[in-house]
Amino acid sequence: MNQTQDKLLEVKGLKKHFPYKQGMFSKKMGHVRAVDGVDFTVYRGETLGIVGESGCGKSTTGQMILQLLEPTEGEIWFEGKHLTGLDKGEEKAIRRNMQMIFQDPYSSLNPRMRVEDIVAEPLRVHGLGRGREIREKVVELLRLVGLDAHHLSRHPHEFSGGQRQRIGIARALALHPSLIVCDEAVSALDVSIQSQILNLLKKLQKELQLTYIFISHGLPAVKHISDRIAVMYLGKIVELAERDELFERPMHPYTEALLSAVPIPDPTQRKERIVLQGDLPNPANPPSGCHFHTRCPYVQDMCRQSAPSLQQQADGHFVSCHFPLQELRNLI
Amino acid sequence: METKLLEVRNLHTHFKTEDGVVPSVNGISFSVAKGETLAIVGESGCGKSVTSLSIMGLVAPPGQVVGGEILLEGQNLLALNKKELRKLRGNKLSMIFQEPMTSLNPVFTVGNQLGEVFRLHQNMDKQQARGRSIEMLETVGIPRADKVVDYFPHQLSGGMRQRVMIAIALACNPALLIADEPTTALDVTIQAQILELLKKLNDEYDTGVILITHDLGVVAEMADRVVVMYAGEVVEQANVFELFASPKHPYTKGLLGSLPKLDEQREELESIPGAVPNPLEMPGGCAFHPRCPLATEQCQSKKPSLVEVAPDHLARCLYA
Repeated sequence: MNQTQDKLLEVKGLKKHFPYKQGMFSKKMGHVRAVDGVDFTVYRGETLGIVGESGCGKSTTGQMILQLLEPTEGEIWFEGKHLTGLDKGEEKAIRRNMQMIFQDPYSSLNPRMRVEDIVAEPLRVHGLGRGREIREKVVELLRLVGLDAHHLSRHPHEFSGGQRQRIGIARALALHPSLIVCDEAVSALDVSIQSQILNLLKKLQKELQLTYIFISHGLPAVKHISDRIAVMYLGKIVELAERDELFERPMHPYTEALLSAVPIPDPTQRKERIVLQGDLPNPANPPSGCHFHTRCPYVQDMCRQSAPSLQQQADGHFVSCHFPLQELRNLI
Repeated sequence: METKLLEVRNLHTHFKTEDGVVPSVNGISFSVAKGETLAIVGESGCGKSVTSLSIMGLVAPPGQVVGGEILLEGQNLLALNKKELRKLRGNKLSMIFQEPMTSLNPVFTVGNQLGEVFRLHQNMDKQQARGRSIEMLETVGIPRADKVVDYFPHQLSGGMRQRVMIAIALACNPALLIADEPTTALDVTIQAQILELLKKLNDEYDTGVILITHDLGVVAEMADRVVVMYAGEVVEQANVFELFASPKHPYTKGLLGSLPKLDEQREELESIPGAVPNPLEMPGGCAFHPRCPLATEQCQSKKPSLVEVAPDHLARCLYA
């Protein structure tokens, strides 16, 4: 991906702080900095992967892009429009062009609705056709995701997890969005079903020129589907690069440890891992300086005092570290 | 031949439901040697967790072990009464559960729950139990163990809770440890810590381990031998190197092919079509035939048996 390409989405200095309260009178105690200043661009037709562990702010970022959460600070530009401070009508129009696929296919479909109504709902909400026309569109959408017209009148409980995820995908596609945010879209599925859904997402992207933001904690799946990958830690992007560059030449110590921690499904490749000590710090009270310094194996004095910013180290390879890793290491 | 620590022979565990009997575990056999790590892999609903609960004697109604033998050092666990079983559990035989959030009691301190093991099985008094608990917490790598011993579970992170679970499971130095998806609920960097710890403890104490997981990466990393389950049956069994290098059952091949890998990039992943069959409507013949790329007419009518296809390598397929 190079800079001359068409920018679909641009995020600048995005922050989300959740106040938390404690005690008898719900006194405000402080803020959980779920997302703490994130910048990135998504180009039309690409897949941007966002990886990180629980609590790193990856889902909150996705929800802010979709206007499901209001940012505390920062800007989101989508198709050249600034998304903050829109009125209801403008917001609805924008939402047509961006959709979400959720993690849990069990709780993201209304159990009382038939498949036809689930997939048709976005069309009805936006007044796109009526009666027979809608049914035809729904059947076409179901075909697109590998389901059939005879599934129309069934309810979600009659489907397996993988099939439910297909229904969720059909619903997301109904309005021909340009951007789809997949939030842990395959994490709840069994291995053999996961690969079916990953293949389907790739096929649909080609056929419908979709742009994805693929949010997940599962590195192998993110690597399989993404063109570029952003690694998040404690509300910030610590590294952002093209897929192969990131996996072959990680420059941030956290990325390095993350890659090294993934068990490889090959018993002949057992090896020493970089095992990070300790847990994720509390995002309400993040460490001073570089957020990662409490767990970093290469920590220096400077890291405890001043926070690094995301800098371009090589072509399209951004790292937020005072001492980016230089040597090539065989991690995978 | 190594000494067998655990031998499971032709185990059947059924669940009686309104719609009929679900044979969750349908005649499985395997063994674990002393100090060995045996991985049981399979997708949801294949019966791997029910197998472990059957060994622990924790199958709750409407489930019931209806046949077979489970021999721990030659003693049939299925013939024991509740009291005798309770003596073994937590002592010679123990288990780590998947959900460290729900498997610890939220209203008792860590020391209370860990100390209980010593008080029940080793007749220690409170003071001794507390001392041993602190030692045990140190063994599993918990910092400031003398403080943590008085914490309640909600004061600990997921990884720390799982360490406490492991400390409880290993307190009496069990001969057999069953770890049911011990790292599934954890982040990868925490998973790496816990796997490292399990490996170290396995080496130090020579404990036999049954590792139940759906993650083939974890299997490759940890196991000596692997049992692959599908629809309540063992479909393949081999040592870990053999299984990954030359899988014989089409289901195992499909599972390995469907994994996205970090060290290679493919345009499309192989995948197994369809989904796991409904246990109330099991297909005739080979249970895998509706999803199998190699299925022939014979597979629809003839049920394959588990046969040795190479030395110490079993597979349940007519064409293996």
